[in-house]
Amino acid sequence: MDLRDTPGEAKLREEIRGWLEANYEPGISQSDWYKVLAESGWAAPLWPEQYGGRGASASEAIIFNQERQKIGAEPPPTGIGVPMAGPTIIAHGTEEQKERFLGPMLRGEEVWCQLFSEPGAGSDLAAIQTRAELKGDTWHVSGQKVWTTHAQLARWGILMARHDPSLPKHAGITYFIMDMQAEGVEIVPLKEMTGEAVFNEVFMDDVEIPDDLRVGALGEGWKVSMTTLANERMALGLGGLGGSDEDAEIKLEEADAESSLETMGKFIRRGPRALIELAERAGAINDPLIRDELARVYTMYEVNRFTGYRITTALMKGRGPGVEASTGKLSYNLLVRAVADLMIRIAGVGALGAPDDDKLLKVAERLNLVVPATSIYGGTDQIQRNIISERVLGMPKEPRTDAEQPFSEIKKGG
Amino acid sequence: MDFAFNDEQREIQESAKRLIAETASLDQVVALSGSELGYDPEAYKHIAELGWTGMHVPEEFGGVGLTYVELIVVLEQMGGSLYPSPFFASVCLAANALIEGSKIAPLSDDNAALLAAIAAGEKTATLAYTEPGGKYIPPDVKLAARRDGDDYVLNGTKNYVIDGHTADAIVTVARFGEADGEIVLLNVPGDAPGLTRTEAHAVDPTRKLATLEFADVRVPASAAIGDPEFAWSTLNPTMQLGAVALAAESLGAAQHCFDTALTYTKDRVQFGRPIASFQAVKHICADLLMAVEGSRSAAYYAGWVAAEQRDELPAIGPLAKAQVCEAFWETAKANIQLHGGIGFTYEHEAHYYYRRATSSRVLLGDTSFNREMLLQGLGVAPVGAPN
Repeated sequence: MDLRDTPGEAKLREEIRGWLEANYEPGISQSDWYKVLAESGWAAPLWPEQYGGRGASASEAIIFNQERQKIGAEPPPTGIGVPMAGPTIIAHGTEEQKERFLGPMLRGEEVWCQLFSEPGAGSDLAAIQTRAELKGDTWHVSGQKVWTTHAQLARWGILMARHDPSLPKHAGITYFIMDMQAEGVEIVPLKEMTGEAVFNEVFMDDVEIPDDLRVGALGEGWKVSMTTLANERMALGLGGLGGSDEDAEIKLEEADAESSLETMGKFIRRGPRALIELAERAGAINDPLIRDELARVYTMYEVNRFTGYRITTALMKGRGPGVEASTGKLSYNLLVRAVADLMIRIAGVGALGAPDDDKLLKVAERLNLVVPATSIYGGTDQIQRNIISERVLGMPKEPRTDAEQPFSEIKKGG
Repeated sequence: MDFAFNDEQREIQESAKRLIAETASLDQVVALSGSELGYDPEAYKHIAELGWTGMHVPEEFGGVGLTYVELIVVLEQMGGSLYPSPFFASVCLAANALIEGSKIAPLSDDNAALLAAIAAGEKTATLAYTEPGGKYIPPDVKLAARRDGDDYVLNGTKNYVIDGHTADAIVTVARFGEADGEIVLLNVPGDAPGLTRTEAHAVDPTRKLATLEFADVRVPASAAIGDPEFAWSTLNPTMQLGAVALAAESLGAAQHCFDTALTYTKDRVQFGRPIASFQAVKHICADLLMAVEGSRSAAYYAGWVAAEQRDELPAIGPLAKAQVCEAFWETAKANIQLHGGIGFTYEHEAHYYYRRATSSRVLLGDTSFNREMLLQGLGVAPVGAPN
């Protein structure tokens, strides 16, 4: 048991540091940096070389990420593309699809979005009602999607649609790549309770998708989507673990009060000390109840950090992460809510209407409005608990009434 | 980075698991808990021969010279079976006080001999800190150590001393002056004249507690461990290392409760199906998994910090203690709840773990106390508080 680099890792770190020194110039534009990353394979180091990755080991990917953060270089393109759509296309797509989509995705030239959830299909994702009908070689898609991040920026969407309602719900789904600029696609921003619109509604009215943009076989959409969602859970869970090493810790002032969910996430991940600072400044540091909660929240942070070491170790040894990784998203959600709650408790009435120039209070005010979403998107806390108990703990599923009959005959929401 | 046990540590883990499974079934544990000693001296001799009692004790003091990581590997297994042994008090409290004291001032011959005897399993010892107030804080140490020539003369009471009625030596926290820090740590023989020891009633029968009355107990000045003018420099790391040990032990116990509960929910059928298929039950289990796995991360990290003697120990020791003992408490409670009616019978094992969880949660300071210690370990002292 040793958290320091092995000699092999130290050597790797030296090489990676050398590469970054030679290839990263502070002030480089995002698009140029993306190109450098894509050409070298560092945009998705774990992908096979033939698809633009490096076929790298997890150690290499992890060390690269650490060294990149140290010099303040931006990460490779994130969002739906590289973390989720990419691995799905690699696993289930055709060679033509890989050829066409992976390159621009890695270079950040084409943004992707995810067209899964619907008004009637949230936690019960297999209840989607968006229809896809094949006429000749072309699919005609009609329906409504919701909670679509970056739909307005996206060139492509990964889509789950129902090709046959006479089949049981899971069996009648097929997975597609949809052109977001196609005729019949309408994107409407969806304003959240924070007042901003990170998400969108996407309406599809007879949108045409050529059959060669189908991913996986007819009726395999559910299986294909599992690859996407497993990658999403991993990204959301690991997001809570990454960047919490001491080097990456930031001061509260660095968190942008006007910032988006993403920046808030960054603040939460990096800010255990910031909470203490807030309490000191607010004169709450002597309050024993606040101190107890500060220590409890600090412990949640640290436990996530230590669990991150276990996951990193497993990955570096070439094993998939075990039981410890399955609770990542849930424990992150609990942490985020505890942080928001504590900030409000510390700031008191000051958090009710923070003046614009008080970043500290502004963060408290905003975070409080942001956190109810975190325990819902990407799979609610309750669904996470179902997943953990069924897939990790081997507990039996609830008896279901809707799994076997034709989808057209079951009761639906929406 | 390798945040996992190495081959040797895994071997120790396996052999501990085997030995404990063979020698400490619940029936054996319960039977031993009825005796005054509370453990089997032959079994203790055996684990001493295996090197457990001297595991992390430096070789210069007669130990095996391994690290705290190997120690927590064994402790986790012990916790799983509520292993009856003076191991915790002797090796994880008293020996640590001597080892930490030796870093401040060379050990006297008697003290070095005691450490070697603890490491060899020939003697047992314990730490006597708390008094009737029950708190692990400087003002609550009232037991007086008056200097008389070359001796200290001790008068006062110690309560809740783990294995205090049977230990061969009592590392005693005593006060020699009025100020908070004027504390001395003394090695007091268990059979010292003037020392009266009684087994106290304890909610956890598998962990014996004693009350010690000191009436003019006389020990030589050489009994002092560490700095005789300021024993906090020895006592603080001792408490932090004790917290790490208790965390590791509680991890094993929490895992046992969780495994038992989970298995039961899969076997128990109500309403025509295993109760494990109900979401109300599943969600409890998912939360317990998160608590136990988080505790594993905390206990192992703390073990590494202790092994490496890193500066983080003052924060991480109490952090691990608070995290794991809370998780153990939650798991022990849920174990009873998930078992339903059978879970709160005397016949079922669940209450023994509940009792242990109750005791581990408050021994070495309760959760609020350890959270406060964590903040202070981070340097976040209350504003205006004395150092």
